[in-house]
Formats: sequence, C-alpha cells, structure tokens
Amino acid sequence: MSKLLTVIVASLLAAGPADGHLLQGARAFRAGRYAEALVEFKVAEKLGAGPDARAYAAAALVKLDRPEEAVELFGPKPASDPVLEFYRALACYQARLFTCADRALEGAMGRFGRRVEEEARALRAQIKRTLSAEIQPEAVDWYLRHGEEALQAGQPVLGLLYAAEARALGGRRKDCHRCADADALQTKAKAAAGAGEAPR
Amino acid sequence: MKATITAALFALAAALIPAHARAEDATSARDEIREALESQARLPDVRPTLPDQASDRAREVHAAIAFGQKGTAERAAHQAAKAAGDASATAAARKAAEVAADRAGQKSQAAASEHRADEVRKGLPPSKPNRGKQD
Repeated sequence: MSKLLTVIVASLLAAGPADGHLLQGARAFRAGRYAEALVEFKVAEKLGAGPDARAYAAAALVKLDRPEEAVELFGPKPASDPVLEFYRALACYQARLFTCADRALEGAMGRFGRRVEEEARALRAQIKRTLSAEIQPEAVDWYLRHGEEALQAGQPVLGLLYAAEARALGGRRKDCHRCADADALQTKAKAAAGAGEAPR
Repeated sequence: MKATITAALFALAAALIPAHARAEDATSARDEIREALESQARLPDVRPTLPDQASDRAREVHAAIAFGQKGTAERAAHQAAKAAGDASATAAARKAAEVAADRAGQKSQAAASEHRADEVRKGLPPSKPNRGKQD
C-alpha cells in the first residue's frame, strides 16, 4: 500500500517542472523570443511533457526560419491540434514542400480560429499560384537530390517528404518525370523513418 | 490496520490536492501555448518558389567564381607569407592580399570601361559606371 502511494505521489510530482517550462516557453513565444521558447519546450519535452512539447519546439523552429529541422521534428503524421497543423504547414511551405503544406491545411480547414483560418486560406492561395506554373524537370530533380541528401543527413521524415513532393510534381507532367526514382526514394525513406504510411 | 488506512488516505489527499492544482497548471500551460501560437500564426514574409536547378546551379557557379577570386588573393597572400618566413609574414600577407584584391578591382573597372568604350564606338550612349561595392 505504502509503495503504491509512493509511486502515485512520485508520478504526480514529476509532471510539475515540465509544465513550468511549457509556460515559460509560451510566454517567450508570445513575446517573439523564439530561441528562448525553443529551449524551454525542449527542456519540457525532456522532463516528460509529452509529444506536444516536441511539436511546440517545432513551431519555434518555424519562427526561427529553420523549416527543414521543423519538418523533421513535427514528423510525418498530422498534428491533432489545428494550430500546430498550421505551423506544420508553414514548415513544409518554407521548405518548398508545397503539396505537403497544402494537404496539411486542407485537413485542418474549418477547425482553425477565425484569424488563422484567413491566414490558412491566403497560404493555400499562394501555394495554388506557385503550383500553377509548369513543373520543370529540374524542379523534380531538385527534390530528389534534396531527398537523398536529407536521408544521408539522418533526416528520414524530410527525405520522405521531399520524395513525396518529387512524386507529386513529377506526376503532374505528361512524361511523369523520374516518377520511378521518386517511388524508389519514398520506399527507402519509409524504411529509414520506420513510417508505414504515406506522409500527409 | 486502521491507522495505516487513515495515513494512506491522508497521503492520498495530500497528493491529490496539489495534483489537482498541477492538472490545472498543465491545462493552463497548454491553453497559454495555444494562445501564443495563435497570436504568432502569420504567413512568412518571404514567399518560396518552385526550385529551379538551373538557377541554383548558376548561383553555385557564381559563388564559386567569387570565392575563386578571393582564393587567388588568399593564395598570393599565403605564398608571400611563406616566402617572408619571419615576423613580417603577416604584414607581407596582408600587402599581397591587398595587391591581389586591388588588381581584381582594377580588372573589373577596366572591363567596365572597355564595355563603355565599345558602346560609344557603336554610337550608343555609354552606360553609367558602377559606383557600388565591387567584390
């Protein structure tokens, strides 16, 4: 009985400091001190604040203009919180992963607050304009090259998303430029990421 | 036995009261983060474009040329420093680098003058000389 109580009390106490860091991170983020917010969220994650803290750190990376790292930290699956999904879309967008960004926003539309919904709509319009241009083979090559580089650098999620982007853009061309290469890279990246499903 | 149960209940109550407060803290922390994220959710100033390997390659080549020019100056500096081989090496290196950089600048100005002269020869108005930073 006393052992059980000790375990309960210990586990309840453990959650305390992590929340303090989350709060500090939130205040720093709101004040625009993103580097400080990033540190606080990372500490909170280490103290057991859960997967949300990881996503908050990724959002801070987006604001620090480090989209590739943010994409990797967010992971391949959609975030449950629509605001975090907005930041994941921003990370994809800034990393030139346009279809990734658009899918993320599409899945979260209607769940944002009013202001964020407007931002999301504007971002989707920008993406649509960008993708309305004819897809050049060089663009597909660029994604494949960066996908390979990301895999080599130990960033499997980023590699997977670059491969998916190459496949999506290559598929828009009549000749389906290097679609087989993109498929092969996706398979390789999935194995590296341990992700059994297609990225969103 | 009765005493143990009473003690256990007290301990549980003591743990649950702050735990309740902590649960509220956790909720308020997440609420605060959510509000902070929403307040800063804006589109980036820079709009990325579709990558173009050709233009990326051109930028890389341009950078390589620029570094090549600087590299020539650096190589000259190192050679001069090696030749001097004493305390004046640093000064010699700086001097050599300055000379090399100056030559590169002169070469660029000469090319621009040549271009303007060519324009005049063809009966065109000469373009304005570039007064900006040259590197």
